[in-house]
Amino acid sequence: MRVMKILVLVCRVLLGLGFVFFGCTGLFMHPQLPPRGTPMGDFANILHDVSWSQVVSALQVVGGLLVLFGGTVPFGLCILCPITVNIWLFHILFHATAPAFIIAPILVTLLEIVLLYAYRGSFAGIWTTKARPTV
Amino acid sequence: MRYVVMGARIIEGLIFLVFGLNALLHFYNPPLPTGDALTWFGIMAAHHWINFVAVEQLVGGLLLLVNRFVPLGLALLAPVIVNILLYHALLWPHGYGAAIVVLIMELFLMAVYWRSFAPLFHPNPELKTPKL
Repeated sequence: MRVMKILVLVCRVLLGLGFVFFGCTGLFMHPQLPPRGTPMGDFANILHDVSWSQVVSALQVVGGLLVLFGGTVPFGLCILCPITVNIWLFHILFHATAPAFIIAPILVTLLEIVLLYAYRGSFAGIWTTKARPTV
Repeated sequence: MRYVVMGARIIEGLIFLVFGLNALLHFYNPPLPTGDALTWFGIMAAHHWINFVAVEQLVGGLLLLVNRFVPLGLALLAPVIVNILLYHALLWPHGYGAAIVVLIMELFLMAVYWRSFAPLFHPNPELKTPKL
């Protein structure tokens, strides 16, 4: 019981701090984008120019804080999990799968799986065929 | 009201089923954007990113249509809709009528299925821990 609680706390802090850090880097530092001319570079530069990347960074900060503060962990996971899926798609589809590139996504995914499992009670309403509209 | 919910569910489901299938099978070619939006879309297509989005739309739409796991379908479609709206807001500010319609129906369906989504927003949710 206590071991699991400590594990959840560690996962929350690591995941929350990680996404707050990456989100703030994307928002406030000048991010190093891959150069234009390659598909990956064009993709990243276009998304950065129209501030799509900044929206994602802001959502990372919000999701990270929600996970960090506790009490709002499931909602934070709802924001961070789709972002993680897209991080994976980016790395796989643009072949940025060198260990240095995907160590962070792997860690983030593991942390999220532990948290999704620990907070599965909050997600139970989604995994049911018995949901009926209330009108 | 029951029929409004049913109508919204079936229309939303059909829209995403058709859009998802179309992105995979190309039975209808919508007019392409221009400029940066076209470049971006071309990269998404060339690297098969579109296919993943299409499968997610297809599965989400199908779950709504067959009326099983409706909240899961809505949960799958929500991030897709967010990105469709971002695309129209930031990259291609034309032809966003369908996106608005889809958003309204998604919000309506989430509201009537709120019992499934409410626990996500409960403060201090219970932690399910096995005895370790």
